[in-house]
Amino acid sequence: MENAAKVKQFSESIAVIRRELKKDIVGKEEVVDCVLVAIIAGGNVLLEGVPGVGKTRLVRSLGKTLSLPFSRIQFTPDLMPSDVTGTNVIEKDENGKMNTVFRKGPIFASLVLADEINRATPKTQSAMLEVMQEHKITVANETYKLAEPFFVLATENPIEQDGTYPVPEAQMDRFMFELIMDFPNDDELFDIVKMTQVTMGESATAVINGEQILEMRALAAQVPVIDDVVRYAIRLVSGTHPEIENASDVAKKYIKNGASPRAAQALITAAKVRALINGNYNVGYEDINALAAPVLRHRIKINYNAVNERLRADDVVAMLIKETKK
Amino acid sequence: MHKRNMQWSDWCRILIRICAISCAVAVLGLVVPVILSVSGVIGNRALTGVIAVVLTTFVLLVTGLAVYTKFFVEIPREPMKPLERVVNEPMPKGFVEFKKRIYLTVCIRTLAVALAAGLLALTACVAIGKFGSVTVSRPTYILLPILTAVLAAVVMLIILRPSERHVARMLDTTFGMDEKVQTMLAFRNSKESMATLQREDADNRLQQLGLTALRHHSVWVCLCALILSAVMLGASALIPVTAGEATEAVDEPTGPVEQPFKLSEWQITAMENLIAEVRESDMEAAPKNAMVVELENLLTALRTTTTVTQMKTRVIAAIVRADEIAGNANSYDNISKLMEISTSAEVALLGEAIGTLDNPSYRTKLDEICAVLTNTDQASAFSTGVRQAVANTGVNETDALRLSLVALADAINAIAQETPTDWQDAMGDAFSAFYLASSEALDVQYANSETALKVRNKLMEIFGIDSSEIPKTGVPGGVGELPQQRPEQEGQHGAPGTGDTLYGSKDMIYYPDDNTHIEYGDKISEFYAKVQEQLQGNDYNEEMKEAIIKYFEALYGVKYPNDN
Repeated sequence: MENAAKVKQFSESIAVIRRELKKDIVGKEEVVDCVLVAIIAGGNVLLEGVPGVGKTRLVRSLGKTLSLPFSRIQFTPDLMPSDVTGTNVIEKDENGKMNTVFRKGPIFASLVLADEINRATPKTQSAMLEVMQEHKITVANETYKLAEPFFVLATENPIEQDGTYPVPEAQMDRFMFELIMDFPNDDELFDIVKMTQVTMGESATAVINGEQILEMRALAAQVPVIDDVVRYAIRLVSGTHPEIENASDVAKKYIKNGASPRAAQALITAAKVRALINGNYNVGYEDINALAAPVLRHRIKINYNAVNERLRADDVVAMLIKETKK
Repeated sequence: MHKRNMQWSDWCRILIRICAISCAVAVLGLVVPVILSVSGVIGNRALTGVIAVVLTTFVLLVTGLAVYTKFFVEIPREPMKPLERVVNEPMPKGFVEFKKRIYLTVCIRTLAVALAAGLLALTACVAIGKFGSVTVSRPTYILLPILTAVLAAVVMLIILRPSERHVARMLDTTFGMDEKVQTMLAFRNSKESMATLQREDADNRLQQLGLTALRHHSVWVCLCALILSAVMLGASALIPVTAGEATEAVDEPTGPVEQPFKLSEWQITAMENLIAEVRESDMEAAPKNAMVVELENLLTALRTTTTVTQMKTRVIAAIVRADEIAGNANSYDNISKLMEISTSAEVALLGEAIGTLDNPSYRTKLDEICAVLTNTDQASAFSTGVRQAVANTGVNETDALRLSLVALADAINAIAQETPTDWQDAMGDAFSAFYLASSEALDVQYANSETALKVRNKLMEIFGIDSSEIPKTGVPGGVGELPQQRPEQEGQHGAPGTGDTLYGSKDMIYYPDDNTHIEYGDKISEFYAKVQEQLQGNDYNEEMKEAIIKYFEALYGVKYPNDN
């Protein structure tokens, strides 16, 4: 059967990608898997972590492994939207005639690293909205469609808050996952140091291309999911809203603002990919639970009760999972 | 909504449906409650009626509403689409095998729980019927367990609901299949390749697990419940009921419990003494013999009497019979009453004198009558009056009193005819002769009444019968007119013994040492001790000793008691 071969190839591709990424990334298997899930699912990822944990290195390695055109945008406070999207410039052609030519910005790539996205102004950040959601750019009434697959991986430094602009909620909602890269443990740091003593560059090689990723995406979309699981995902997302009639106790107590419907879409889409990555042909509750935190942590706003009790968004999501009935 | 136009066919259909509804109402609302009531499941008729009314009303309301909306109100609906019959694809083999096994498990559990519930209901019936104060009818022993078992089975099936969806969920949960089986079931009809792959993968995993992986803890729990309920039933049936707690499942209400009676030795002795006293009395021979026979028959009957009620019935009957014997034997009352209503004052006076029976002024009254009869007319009238009164009594012609009165009447009449010169002497002689003859007769009749009164009092005393329990005999000359006790003994009689105490031991006696009245039974042992001492210490006549010993034997009801 054709799909059987595709599934087999899917599994092999994932295994290969993991192996290649291990050459450059020590540990962080969960983060790597979530990034892979997001890429295959067609979503964007926000990476949060202190400097030096390997955020940029991950993206660069990923770009090499996936053979995708890669670009990096270093967000600074003086970065303009046109610096991201591109702009029209006037050029003299061969005949000396002045023509307006559109110079593509760094966003025109398949894999875009938006480094320290919170350092850019909201105006510049909003330039990413259209491209992250619709994969197209509109400049001077001209719409430029980006090639698929298109993937934005943004990074955020949680420490340096001076001179930063919090990412707008609308843009946060465009990220399928928010992944936290923690400081490596001693063993991981040992491996990192040993590895980087050899070379600081990425060693990963190309093992897959964009077309294959699109095929994997199409295959993952076919993974069946029963209505009960879908309703469970919906209950999880609805449970983050304290203002609804049957709001969960967790939401009433700890959540100020709940997640948008995109969260439910992201949950299901990503769960399909995860199921397939794990060798399952269907989506289960476990897939939803595993992806709930990456999907919801950046979409919900915890209130002062949670802050007072030193609860993070992940803790609130865990409580929500426990409270939600299957 | 708007009303529709009714057609003739609609009315016919309405009529047919009403008939069908009526039958349903009759069965559900009437027959079922009646069956439950007759079978005894529902003992309260008012409750049965309420249930019948409620069920009937409910059925009528529901069906009435259905009929109304069906035929009188047209609810606009969208055009019905052709019925799409969904034919599900058969499930893979692995799932089918598990489903069959789970169905079997559910059936076993349902059966076990239903049987356990039925046994528990039966246990409750047995326990209530055995140890409780409620009577349980036999149909209840059958119907209640059956109904309970059926209800439990229905509830279990509703709860367990072995549908394919539940089987799938159960397999996923039990074996950690990550919703593979449920997905397989949900997408059983999908032709997509991924869904097909998923089904194959899920089925392979199920077949790899095998049926043995399915644990049946719940079945064992249900079977244990069944065994436990059987044990409880056995225990409730085997646990003995103590005598005081025994109850019988009878439908008829039981009457008051009869007090047992057993004729005691002292009662026998008292009866024998009474019989001897009657024999030695001055009663006439015939009534005496009849009374003795009556008393002997009573004693014989009381030896086999087992209840107090029966005893009292027999004793009272004997008392009444004794009254009747004495009453029928005595003629003085009958004669005196008829003579008292005579037109002749002298005859009436004679009747009054005779009627008092034991009248110390009897002779004086006779002399008065004798003194009044001074001429022929008076004498003749007196003679005639006496004869008429005697003739009207219907008393036996051989009755001594009657004979004496007839003789008096003849003598007075002869004097009246002959008119002797010593009129008063002749009269005196006649009345003297009458006095002697009548006194003898009256003495005998007095003895009859006195003995009958003694018999009544003794029987009442021996067997503890109150005078209010004795019916009035209405027999002329019966003992009701005699005093029941002599004045000097009034207030000194104690209550009769109960058969378990000494004869007369409840009688009150005056005890000078304490200057009070006490029960004789409290001092009898003291008296007996002193008597023993005297009998042993002194040289008494053997006959006297024997009499004294017999006396105490009669009191104790046994042979001469030992020193201890």
